[in-house]
Amino acid sequence: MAETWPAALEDKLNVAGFQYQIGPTAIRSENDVGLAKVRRRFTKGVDTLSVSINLTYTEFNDLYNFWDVTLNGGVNRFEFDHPFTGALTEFRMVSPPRIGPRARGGREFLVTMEWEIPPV
Amino acid sequence: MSLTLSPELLAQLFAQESDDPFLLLVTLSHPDFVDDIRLVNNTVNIVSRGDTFLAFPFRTRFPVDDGQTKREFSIEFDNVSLDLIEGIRTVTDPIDVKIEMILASLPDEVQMSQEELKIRQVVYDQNRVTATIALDDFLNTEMTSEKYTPTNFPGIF
Repeated sequence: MAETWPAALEDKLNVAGFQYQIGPTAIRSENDVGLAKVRRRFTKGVDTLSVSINLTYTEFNDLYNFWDVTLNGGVNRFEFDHPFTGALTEFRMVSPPRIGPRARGGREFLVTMEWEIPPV
Repeated sequence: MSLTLSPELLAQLFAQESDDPFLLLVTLSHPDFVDDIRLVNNTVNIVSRGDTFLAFPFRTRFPVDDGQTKREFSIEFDNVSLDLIEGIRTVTDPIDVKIEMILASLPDEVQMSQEELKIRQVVYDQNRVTATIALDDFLNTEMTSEKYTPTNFPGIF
């Protein structure tokens, strides 16, 4: 059962820094000469995303508790709208969220996260 | 081990680009297990002949089949989730292992299989469970109840 994304946090991802990496499913041979052989290894790959949202002082506890308690330190999955299809999709955080000041400073911070989509 | 390879597998083996994953099915059996443990080294579950094999990360390297090398190999299972180790720790005698290889597009057709395997030893840490598996152990199997001891056969000593 996937957890629900906190209503207090932004539910739209920033464009800046966004990246979507389609998970590899094949291996290639390394040859001195000749075309590499390619073989598919898995039926589905694990897609990964680099995403970010903005965070205010008051939202810090919501983010912290979501990561530490709700997601159990990244063990549990959560639901979020797929950035391309818009469909509610299960994600899992690869590493703890990183919080840093936004480029212009002030009272907003930038939360960068690495997510992955478990294959189904 | 059956060496009769299907035309589909041969086509995949010889192709420049093979688009059909060659998957390993592992079945662990023991009378103390509630049910057999069925695993596949894939990212999603695979249903083969009505049984669901759970997607589970593991890797293996088979022994050299030259008639001289010891017919023993190991499988390294991921242990981060502790899924396997709970069952393995409950038993003290060898666990039966069956290994089958399939093409993902033909999950009900076993391309190669090896049965009657035994897990001889298990070592584990927080990251992985390493199981040593013996294909057969006939060199350590007693042939008769007689032993060549000085008491039974004093003439040969």
